[in-house]
Amino acid sequence: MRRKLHRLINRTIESKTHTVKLEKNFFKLFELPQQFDTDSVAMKRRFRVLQRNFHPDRYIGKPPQEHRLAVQLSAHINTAFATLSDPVKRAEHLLNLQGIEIDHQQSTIKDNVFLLKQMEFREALEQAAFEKDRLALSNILTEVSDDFKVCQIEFAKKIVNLNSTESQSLTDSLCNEVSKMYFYQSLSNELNTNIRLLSQ
Amino acid sequence: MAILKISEPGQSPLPHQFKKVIGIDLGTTNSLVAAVSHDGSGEGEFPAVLNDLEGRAMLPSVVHYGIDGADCVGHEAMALAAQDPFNTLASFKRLMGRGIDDIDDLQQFNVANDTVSTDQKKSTAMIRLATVAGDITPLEASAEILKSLFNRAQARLGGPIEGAVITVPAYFDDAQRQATKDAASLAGLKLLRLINEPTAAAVAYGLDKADDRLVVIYDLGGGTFDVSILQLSDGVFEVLATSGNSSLGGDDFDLAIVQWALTQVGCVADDLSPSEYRRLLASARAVKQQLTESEAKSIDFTCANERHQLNLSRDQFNALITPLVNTTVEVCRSSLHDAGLTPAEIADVVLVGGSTRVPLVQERVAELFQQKPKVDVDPDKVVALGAAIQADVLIGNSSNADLLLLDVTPLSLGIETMGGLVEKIIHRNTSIPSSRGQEFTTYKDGQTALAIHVLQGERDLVADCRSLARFELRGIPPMVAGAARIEVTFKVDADGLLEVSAQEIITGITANIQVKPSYGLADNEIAEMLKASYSYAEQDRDARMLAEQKVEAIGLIDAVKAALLVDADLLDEQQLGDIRQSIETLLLDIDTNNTLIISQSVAILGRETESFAALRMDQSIRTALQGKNLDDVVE
Repeated sequence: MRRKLHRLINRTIESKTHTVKLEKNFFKLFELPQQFDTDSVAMKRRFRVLQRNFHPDRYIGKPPQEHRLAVQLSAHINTAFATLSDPVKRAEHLLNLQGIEIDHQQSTIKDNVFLLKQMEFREALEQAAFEKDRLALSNILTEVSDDFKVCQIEFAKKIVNLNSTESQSLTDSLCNEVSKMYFYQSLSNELNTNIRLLSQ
Repeated sequence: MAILKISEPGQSPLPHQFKKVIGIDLGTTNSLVAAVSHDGSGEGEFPAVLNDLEGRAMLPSVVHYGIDGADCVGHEAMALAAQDPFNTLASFKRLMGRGIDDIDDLQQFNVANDTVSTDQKKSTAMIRLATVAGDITPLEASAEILKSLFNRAQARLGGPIEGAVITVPAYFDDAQRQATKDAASLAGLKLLRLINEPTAAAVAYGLDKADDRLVVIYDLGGGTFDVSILQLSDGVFEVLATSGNSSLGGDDFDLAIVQWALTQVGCVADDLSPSEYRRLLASARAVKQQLTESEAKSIDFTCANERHQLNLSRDQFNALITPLVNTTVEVCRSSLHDAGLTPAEIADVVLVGGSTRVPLVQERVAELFQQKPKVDVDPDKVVALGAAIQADVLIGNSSNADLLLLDVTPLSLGIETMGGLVEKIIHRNTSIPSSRGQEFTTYKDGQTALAIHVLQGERDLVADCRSLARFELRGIPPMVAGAARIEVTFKVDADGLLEVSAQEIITGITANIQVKPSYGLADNEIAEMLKASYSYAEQDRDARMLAEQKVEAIGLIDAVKAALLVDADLLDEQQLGDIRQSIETLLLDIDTNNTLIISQSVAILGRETESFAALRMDQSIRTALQGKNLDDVVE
């Protein structure tokens, strides 16, 4: 992986000496159950309520310190929303909240079947892009999307057990799922871009 | 540069006593100012463009310079364009925050020699234009336009203006935004916000009244093209994606006609005298406008004193501009892709900007979105009207207090890493305000400093992105390569302006900079210009500074008192006593009429209320988390 995934837990933002306590658990901030499957409509509604309250535009004419803090808060809400909206970031956030950090530069996927499949996808993508075969690209995208979905379902199922069992193998397999999701996501993005370029 | 606002501290404003604020559309070709008027009941709100004395809404963005500086703007200046082309500046918005290498069609500008000659300057200096009044930056010329609109508003509204919202193209980068903000301070305007033109247009349309819906704003102005995709719901205008081209607009249609005309008669631009060129450009624009109604039009011009007359049909014109219009359609497509949407999901398409009157543009947009685009509100005025509505809401006049604009960054922001690569820290289409940190490390043993090069753009190579700023983090203790942990934090505020800071985590050494774009002006340059622009005697200037300092002091006291009224119980007695004491001191200091003493007291009160501000925000967060209505707590 050329690019590392970025750390997602936001530390408390400091304004010199005075600190606002930002809710680091994005699920709590958004009043959502701490689980992989989320209600996107409720999430959006909550996002608007939070921004309505904390966007810096609401603090024009208030003491300048409050305006500055509002900028930080509003940025934090944006980060939280972006994290929860993206399945891969959301999965990683769930792990982070359990004290599990994924080291993307160190972690390797040991699942050979998966790796082989990825290589096949990549080759097919390159071939189809070279041949400007839009239909082939769409077919690959459907296949990748399906696998991505399966991976997400798998993760959602496994993470439920994380609280009850202190198993290293479970932790490893969850991290593994996230790494796989990351592969699927970047592959989907690439496919989409190629399809769009061919549609012009 | 606050505008005078004198009322007794603590005295609550009378009901329906509205503050005067304006919205300004600072355009490439034309600029406008608008304001919202309120009727006595406080119910009715009427946004309207403010006309000049002759009843004209649009002020051509043209400034004429005489020996003593700018002597006229707008229509008057435009009338002088052909006879005095070098001293008549137009289309300078295209040069805002730009260096000489950025502009393709410089022949229409009389660039100052020193901007071009020395290589050093070539790479970093904002373009300057040579006039009899000396070299003028586009920023100064913009400030003249802003001043003129400001004076118009003051005359029409009959009183001091307390603030302005100025619009910028959504696709403006950090340097262009910063230049606009600097122009506002040069003009002496209190800037409430910079907002994006398409977002302003969406506000003016009031499309949020309906249920949750997706809207595309296609904004083709004189010199810039923007497309924004918004999700509207209940007063919240949330931009999902934005894209554009900050050097593509109706001006390019004019230039295409000029190019065509010259080719037809076997001339090149250099054969024309500057006056002839300006005249041809003006005729090209007139023909373009007439072709909206007519099927064909003739164009007369002279090249090296030789007269020519050509006939241009609409079909020919369409062929000339097809590549340009296609570019805008492609940008729309890619923006839809960014938002993960298809054309069919878009409920409304709104056309903004005078150039959307061109029939081909309307046809192509309708074709892409499979619907007739909306043109209900005058495409020339809609942006200024939206800006006025937003200004009215921000200052607290409006009953429409639910209105909230959530915008995004148009371009990715990142820093240079080893090998001339750009590591993006904030990606384009990220909601703003935004704050994001990323860790980097040293690559050499014993490295004690780190050069940080801030860039904006989508490409992977430094050479292909726009350089915004460079700064250094020094004093890193010598360690083996890779051991130091340097966190670089990017913060983008609601205006889309960037601030970067860097910290070595183990030692806590920090460095930060307010990004002053490479193509911008240094703060002291702006201060110099401000000084030069004051026509006041020194005494007047001091009086003005004092008055402004007093306004700031009173504003702060008012705000703190209002906060205490609600939340004094958050403080212990010591803190409360300290703040009250500082307020008393500041009140006394205001009477000293000493600018320095007042500013020191303002700083002390500011520091003392910092933790109070944090406590209040904490309380707001807790309340918000409990799902209560914040308006009960935060007044």
